[in-house]
Amino acid sequence: MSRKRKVTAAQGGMNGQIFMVGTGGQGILLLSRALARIAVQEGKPVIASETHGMAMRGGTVTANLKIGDYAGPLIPAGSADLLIGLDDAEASAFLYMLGKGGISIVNTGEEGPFDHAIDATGMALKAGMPGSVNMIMLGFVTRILGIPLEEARRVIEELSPSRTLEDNLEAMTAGYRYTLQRSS
Amino acid sequence: MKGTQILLGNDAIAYGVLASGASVVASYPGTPASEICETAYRVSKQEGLQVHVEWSINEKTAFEVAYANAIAGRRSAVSMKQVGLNVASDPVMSAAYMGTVGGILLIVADDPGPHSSQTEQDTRLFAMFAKLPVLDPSSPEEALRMAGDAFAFSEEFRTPVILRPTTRVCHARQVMEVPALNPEIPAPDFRRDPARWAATPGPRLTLHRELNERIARIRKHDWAKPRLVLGDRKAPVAVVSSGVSHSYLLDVLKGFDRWPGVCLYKVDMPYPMDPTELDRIARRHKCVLVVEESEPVIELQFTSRANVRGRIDGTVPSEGELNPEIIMDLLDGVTGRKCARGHFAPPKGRRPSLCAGCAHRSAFYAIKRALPKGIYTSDIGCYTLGLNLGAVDTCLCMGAAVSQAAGFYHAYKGSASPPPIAAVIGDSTYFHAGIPPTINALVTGARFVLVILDNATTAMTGHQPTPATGFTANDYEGRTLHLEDILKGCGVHTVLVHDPYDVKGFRKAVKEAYAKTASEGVAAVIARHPCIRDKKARAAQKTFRMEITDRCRLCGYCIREFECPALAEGEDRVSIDMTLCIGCGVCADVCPHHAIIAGGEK
Repeated sequence: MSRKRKVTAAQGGMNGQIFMVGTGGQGILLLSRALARIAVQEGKPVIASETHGMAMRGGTVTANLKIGDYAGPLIPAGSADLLIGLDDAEASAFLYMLGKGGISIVNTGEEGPFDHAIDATGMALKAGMPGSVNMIMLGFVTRILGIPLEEARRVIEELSPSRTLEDNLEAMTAGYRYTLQRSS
Repeated sequence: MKGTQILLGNDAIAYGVLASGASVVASYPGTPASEICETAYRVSKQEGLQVHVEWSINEKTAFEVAYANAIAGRRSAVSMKQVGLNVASDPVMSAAYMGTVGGILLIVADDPGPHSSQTEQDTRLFAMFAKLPVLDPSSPEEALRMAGDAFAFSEEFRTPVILRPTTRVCHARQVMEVPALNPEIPAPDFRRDPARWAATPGPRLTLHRELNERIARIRKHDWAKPRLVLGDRKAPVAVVSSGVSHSYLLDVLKGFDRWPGVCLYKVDMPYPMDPTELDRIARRHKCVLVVEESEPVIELQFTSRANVRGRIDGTVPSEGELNPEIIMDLLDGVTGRKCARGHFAPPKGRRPSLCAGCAHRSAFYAIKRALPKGIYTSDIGCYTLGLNLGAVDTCLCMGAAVSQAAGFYHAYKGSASPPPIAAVIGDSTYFHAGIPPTINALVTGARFVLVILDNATTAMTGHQPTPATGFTANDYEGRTLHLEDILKGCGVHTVLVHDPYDVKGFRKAVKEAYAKTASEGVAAVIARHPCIRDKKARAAQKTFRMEITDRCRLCGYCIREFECPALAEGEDRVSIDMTLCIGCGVCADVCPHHAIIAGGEK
């Protein structure tokens, strides 16, 4: 289903420019914050940009995360190392953000022009946790980037309100294991 | 809470303010500024700081509250979005004349783009108009530092200082060192000086002279000079920049290494600037490119602009946000190279929509049916998205729903069949700016239905309290004021309260109110249902298992007229996106073919 390609972002932990896109309400902010924290735990400088306000009401939502020696919070078009799509239509529309050798990891139930695909929406609905697409994607992404599950768990424990912590951990672990099954 | 943290720009500003010993922080919520006051409250409580933090009723009030504390010799901060400064402009203009004793920082967040605002106005230009110094942070980390440094500067020159972050600074996250929060907060010491604090026009002339002298002194301060941060003084091309544009320039010039012969200057304080220093730069380099958002404020302060490129000569676009791609194009333009990567038009993207289950949607749906062919004036908030239902005709500024409804009444009152008019305004917006125009409408004999969408919160900006929920951000819960009492106090006789989830009943209430307008002028309906993003309210609400039966003929009525984002055209019937649907059950009452069923409670 997905083309095999060398995952450059996995080398040396998290580095470079990560562009995320989805629609309002999918929880892209928490995903971005979690990835940022993982990078900070690795001792890397981080600058990120988020969308707040009007656009969060169901519209297209993007987030930029830059790990390393960067000053500005936006990723120039054509230079992202990684694109994470919580929605496949939005991801397709923003593929131009990727630079040479950049990879895409996208939530989709269909064939698409992406490097890595996972049907996070299907998994979330099946698990009875429709709001957990972001956490499934986080698990999936951390697995692809070669980040230890424990590191991601620790970050989710710090960021999640206690009410949603259990669900978040469960969803993230499911996303993480999904790759394990597929690559074995 | 010390040490290294990853902070949102607005959080960073709050830390800077608290570390400097501000004892009053006041604000009215507005994207992209809202988190400043929220964080100031949360952190001051955590750290046990003696700070009065309040969500004021509007920006003018916020400034006035904070300013009184400042002239009592204590440090104060007030935060708002750029259009909030329009509301606060009256006291701000006057305070520039009177000056201050304790440091006062006016934080105004601009929104080039615009992302969440009605204008792209540049607060730095307002600063020039008001004759107030303004700082332009280029990153969250710098915003923290500037918020801290500004207070001493404010006290040294006895002037309010503006900190002007933009959306990309407010809503950027960055790793930084968080300062210790153990400031000394002095006791209040208001010294009477009526010639200053209560100045009549005569002494105001003296104050204006003082203000001009003050600005002249500030022009000689270090902050008023551009700093060379990249490249050397002999470079043929100099880029002078401030704010987040400066950060993009740093990334682009360092990361791409394609524009030799370019040096970069940074401006920390875009107004007032030292003109001698600017002119020296213009003489030193063959070409000077000024990159700033959103108006040519630095550019205007060059005395001679023969070799200065920017917004005035049309080199830099006159509207819209600057981004790294545009900046690469600009560098190509002034160097004659071709290194930019071409233009990528961002996809149009999905339009925002009221949340699935939002009670505003039900209210709009009902209003349209109660008063067909009406004029629907509306206002600022989530509910502007009633546009998507064709139930919002105007949205001018905070409070204008009410005054414009009156204006339309007067415009049409002589005509053969004047249209029904409904003013639709949110609860927080009504408190902010809806009360005077209600009184005005009643006094001038205007007739319209006033619908207040009361979801008991300021939803769009992240759920700040309103006077009806308990007012302040501090532990003091405040007195709660009820919309019903306020409306009656303004002279509105008919005040109906109805839950818009009951579409039929709500429609009836709007019709009933409309019937009353003939004799009473303004008749009000309060649409009361909590915001479904309020987790407690959401948990308390009945939820249904929604189902589309085979009675669905795919007529599209529900999608078009109700516009719930959870409803989409499916293969043989409308489909429900279960990741969005909250099971409010309202669409069951909307379907003309009774094809949508609100099944047993979940």
